[in-house]
Amino acid sequence: MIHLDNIQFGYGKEKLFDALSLRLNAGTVYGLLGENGAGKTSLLKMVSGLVFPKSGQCRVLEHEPRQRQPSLMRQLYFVADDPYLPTTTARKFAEIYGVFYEKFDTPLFIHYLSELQVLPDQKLEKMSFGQRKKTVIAFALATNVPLLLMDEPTNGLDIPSKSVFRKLVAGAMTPDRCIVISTHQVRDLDTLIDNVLVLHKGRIVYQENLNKLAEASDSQPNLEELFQTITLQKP
Amino acid sequence: MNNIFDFRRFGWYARKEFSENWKALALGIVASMALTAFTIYGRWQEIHNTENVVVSIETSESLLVMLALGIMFASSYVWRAFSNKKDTFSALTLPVSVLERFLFAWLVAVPLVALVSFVVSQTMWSIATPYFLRDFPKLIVEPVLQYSDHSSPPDNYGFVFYLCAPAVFMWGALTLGRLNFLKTLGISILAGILFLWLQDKHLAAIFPNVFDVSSGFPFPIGRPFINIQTTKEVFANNLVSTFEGVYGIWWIFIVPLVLYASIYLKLKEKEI
Repeated sequence: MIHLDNIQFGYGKEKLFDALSLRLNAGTVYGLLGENGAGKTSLLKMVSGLVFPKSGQCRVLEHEPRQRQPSLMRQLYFVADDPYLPTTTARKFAEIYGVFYEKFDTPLFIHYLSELQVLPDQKLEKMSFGQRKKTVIAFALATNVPLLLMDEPTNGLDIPSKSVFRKLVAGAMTPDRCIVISTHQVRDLDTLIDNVLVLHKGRIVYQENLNKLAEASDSQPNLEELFQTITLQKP
Repeated sequence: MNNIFDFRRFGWYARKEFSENWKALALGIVASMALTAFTIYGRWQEIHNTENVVVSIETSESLLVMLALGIMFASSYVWRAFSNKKDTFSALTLPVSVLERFLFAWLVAVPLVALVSFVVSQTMWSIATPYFLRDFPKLIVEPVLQYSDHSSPPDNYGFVFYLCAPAVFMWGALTLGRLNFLKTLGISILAGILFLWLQDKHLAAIFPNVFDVSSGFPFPIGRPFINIQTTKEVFANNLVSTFEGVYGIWWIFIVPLVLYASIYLKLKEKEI
């Protein structure tokens, strides 16, 4: 689904990714971990065609993301950390934006909103940051796109909503769907993630299936400890 | 799926844009009406308060001002999403092709603004004209469109502004971030002053022994002219150049095309 080969990227003269390679497949929830400034958001932006690699090959769903072709963009949805929402209601938002996504499911969107305790007819500009974020998460899940990118999705969510979020994402997961969640709040998501990716010093330094790790150690791996161990090992 | 242009997708995009910006559109129409009403009131005052006989009034002045202001504001506004990161992010991830985005912006900024300005101007003047004629039955109310200060029929140089100004302000909206309208306006004025200064220096160098040389405004909105006073009060006006056709083609056809092509490419290669 996502193939990145030998990617070089940076802002100005500063190098962010150096020979970064990555393969992500459908049917998996990936947790993208990294320190502040490691490039997690930039990596997601690159996958969605918002920034372009300096060199290397980037293929997403058989497309080159930098072209931003509608045939690709309708198959992916990117939940930004601080997402834009127009001045309207959630219901109207779904009506106007949902048509761009072939499999968008309005009843499902309303259901997700009710699970997240967001009123569909409330004005979005009058909602709190957390409520707006929940609206975007509900919309993203209801698009039924094969590739869902989420940048710090639990930022701004209250504790009950984080639990609902995990439940909804787990429920929305299908074998032909790939979800990539970038976060530094690993405790919020350690039960949700199937596969962990650690981005450190411009490369993916660790990629492992958590179920395999759990089988090997007879317990659920602690992502926070795992992350600290990996980043300390690779200074 | 057609990745270049799809009518259905274009319709969805237009619907999204209009539903999110109907207030701005309504405000633009109200502003146009206010401007036309102000012009009509000015003409009314002028012909009622002057002792001279006013034979005719021209209705196109307010239309031209409306058109110029409307084009500049609309060209900057249609891509306001690019003035901040959050909106740019949303705009670029929307499944819409570059051509659809570009075409919609152009249709709003140029033909739609022209249509709205024309309809507002025509409607308001047609309401006001009977009142003018009631007081001054012989008054001629004429919608003469005259772009330049020449006595010749309206020339094509008006199209330079009509085609280039949207491109310049769209370019500003794409590249200058916040307050891009004011920044673009400022840069354009500074560039105009610089161009005028260089033009005068150039003419002074070409004609070193004449009493005075002056030229038209540097932007090719009007027909180019050079006014030479060989000695005091002796003029050689309207020097005709055999290159005027080339000059006209350059400004009316090539410059707008180059500007629009560069905007299209800039939009295609836009990053966050």
